[in-house]
Amino acid sequence: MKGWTGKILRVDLTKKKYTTQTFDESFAKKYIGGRGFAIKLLWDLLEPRTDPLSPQNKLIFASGPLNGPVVPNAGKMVVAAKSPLTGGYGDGNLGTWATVYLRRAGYDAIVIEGAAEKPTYIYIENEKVEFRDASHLWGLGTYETEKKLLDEVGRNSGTLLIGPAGENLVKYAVVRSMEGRAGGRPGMGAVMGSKKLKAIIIKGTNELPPVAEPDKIKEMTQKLYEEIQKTENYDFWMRQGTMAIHAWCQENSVLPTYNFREGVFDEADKINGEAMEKLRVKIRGCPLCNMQCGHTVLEVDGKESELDYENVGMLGSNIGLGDLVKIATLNRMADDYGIDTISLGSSIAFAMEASEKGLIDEKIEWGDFDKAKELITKIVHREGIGNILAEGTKKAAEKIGGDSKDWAMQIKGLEISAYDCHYAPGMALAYGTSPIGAHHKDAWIITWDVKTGRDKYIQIKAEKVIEFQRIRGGLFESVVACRLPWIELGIDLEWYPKFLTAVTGVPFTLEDIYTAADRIYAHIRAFWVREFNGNWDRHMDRPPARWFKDPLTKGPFAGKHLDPDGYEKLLSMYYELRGWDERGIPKESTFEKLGLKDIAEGLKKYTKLTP
Amino acid sequence: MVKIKILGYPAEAAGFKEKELRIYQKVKIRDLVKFHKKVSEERIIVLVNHNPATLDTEVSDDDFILILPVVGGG
Repeated sequence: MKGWTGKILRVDLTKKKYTTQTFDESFAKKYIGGRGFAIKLLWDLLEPRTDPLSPQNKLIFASGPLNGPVVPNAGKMVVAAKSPLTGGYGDGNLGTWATVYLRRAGYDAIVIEGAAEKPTYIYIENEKVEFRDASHLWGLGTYETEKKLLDEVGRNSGTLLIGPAGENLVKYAVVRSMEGRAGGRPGMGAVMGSKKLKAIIIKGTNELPPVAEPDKIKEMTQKLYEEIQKTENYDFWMRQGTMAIHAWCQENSVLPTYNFREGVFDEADKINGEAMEKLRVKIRGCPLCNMQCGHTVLEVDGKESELDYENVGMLGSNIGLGDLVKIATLNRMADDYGIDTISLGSSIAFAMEASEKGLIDEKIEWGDFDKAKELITKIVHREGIGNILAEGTKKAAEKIGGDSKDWAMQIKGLEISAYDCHYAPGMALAYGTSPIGAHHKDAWIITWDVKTGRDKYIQIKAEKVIEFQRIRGGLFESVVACRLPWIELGIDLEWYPKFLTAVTGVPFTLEDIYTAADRIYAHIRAFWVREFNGNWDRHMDRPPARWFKDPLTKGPFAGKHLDPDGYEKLLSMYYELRGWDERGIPKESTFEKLGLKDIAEGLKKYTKLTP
Repeated sequence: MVKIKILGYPAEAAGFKEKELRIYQKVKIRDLVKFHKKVSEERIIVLVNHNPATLDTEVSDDDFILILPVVGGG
């Protein structure tokens, strides 16, 4: 077998033991890597209906075959577990050298099981695994933790770590690396914290697994790097990165504003890509990337804060804050605490609206920077109202009552990322059917909502969501590489099967990858249904009531809102195209077609499958 | 007046972000907006009064033309 190491490292924190599990080429071809490996391992190894914060949960770090042999923009790694925020499948990806070092150490993935008695970090150096005391790091922010760890173990190391949010089991704590990269929105950092695992250090000095066509890979890598730099919008991308979308969203009334009440913000010009350009001090990014998108500005106290569109959308207009330096401060706090900026922005906005409506005692006005800072600290340390908000907006709404469940802006428990969908039904479907809860990483189709008509509930939108899920959620999450070169710069997708083939020697086509993607999606959906004990229906794929019943009041689309019947029609089209039944569960014939007959059999213990 | 607004790199290629013009007869958008650097038509979205259009769509006075790059989210 070429391209894969064929080995998975199993680490048991309770027993302080580790073993190696092997896999063969048929497994590798079927699931490719990254998210594909993660769902297969979770399904097989996790006892159904396990408490996500118990030692029995499995925390998985998975690389893909393109990680290591210098493929452009492939410095990424997937982190996955059963999510404490949603109770279903959770994952995320982050840029990190750990993905390369892991493969050089001889593994494609790590499965962390059990829980340590006291704060621990795992040190992996090729075949050696050590369980080291992390008491001196417990309680420290991510920046200081990373610095101290690298002082201890040396610079040529991959780091994966958590901050106080993960330690305190905040349900949307993330995993961090390289002083700026973060991943695992659905509480992967909290799973790590529940295992008393502060960090993983990976030093891999072995050769990478042999590849099928080394010379061809070198040649393609050089060509692709050059092609990226020659794209027509490369210069603009390098100036603004994802922040260019801010003005786009404002113009199209999809900028989340005041807890997704509106799609336009009066102070948008103060916090958009152009405003950021005037403040930028540095550009940072992931390993092996030549289109880095992390734009660093100085926050209120002069510390660097790395901004992108999502954190500015959620910690800016969504909480009514129109000051980029102050947004940078909130963002820096979130990064240091190791907490997801999207769910955090949504939780702060939820608290502001709850305060406005008198559902909580605290007085927190829209755009109040000092109160927002205070709230972040309270969430991370689970103090007062912060303890409620640390559970996510779905649980917070159950706690504070009133009509708050209508404007707890989440789907399946995961907070919606920074795109308002009052008048973007295709994107609402993308959020509704995202395999981890409401997130945009699998499919972002507002461009096609705009191109085909904002008021249309038509099949092409359901088709587009699936096409994007195959590409972004399937291809990029399993190979594992950054999705941004594709749409943002117009890079041809055919590069990726060519790279996969040259690395593995297996003749992959895009169609093969899309079939694997459909398999991964069906498998993830099966996991959700199993973990919900078969109590599953299409309502799980519905956006919150706000988008249906509280119309926009500002901007060119004032008065617009989602049509409930139209959304249901779109959802049914989506299910039909995927071969899923009207509950949103893959049909038995679909499982069989995707080579998942065993998964179907396993799922029958929890629900009756549609033939 | 016809109002034209362009976002992102197509604005730099056109040399302006916003412009208002008086036009006295119907005219194609491509006759009002010239790109001086490469902008592929499949990589832009053209809207007239927020409705889908193309560079060949004819516009009248009082129309609002919006030209956006195709993007894929953050």
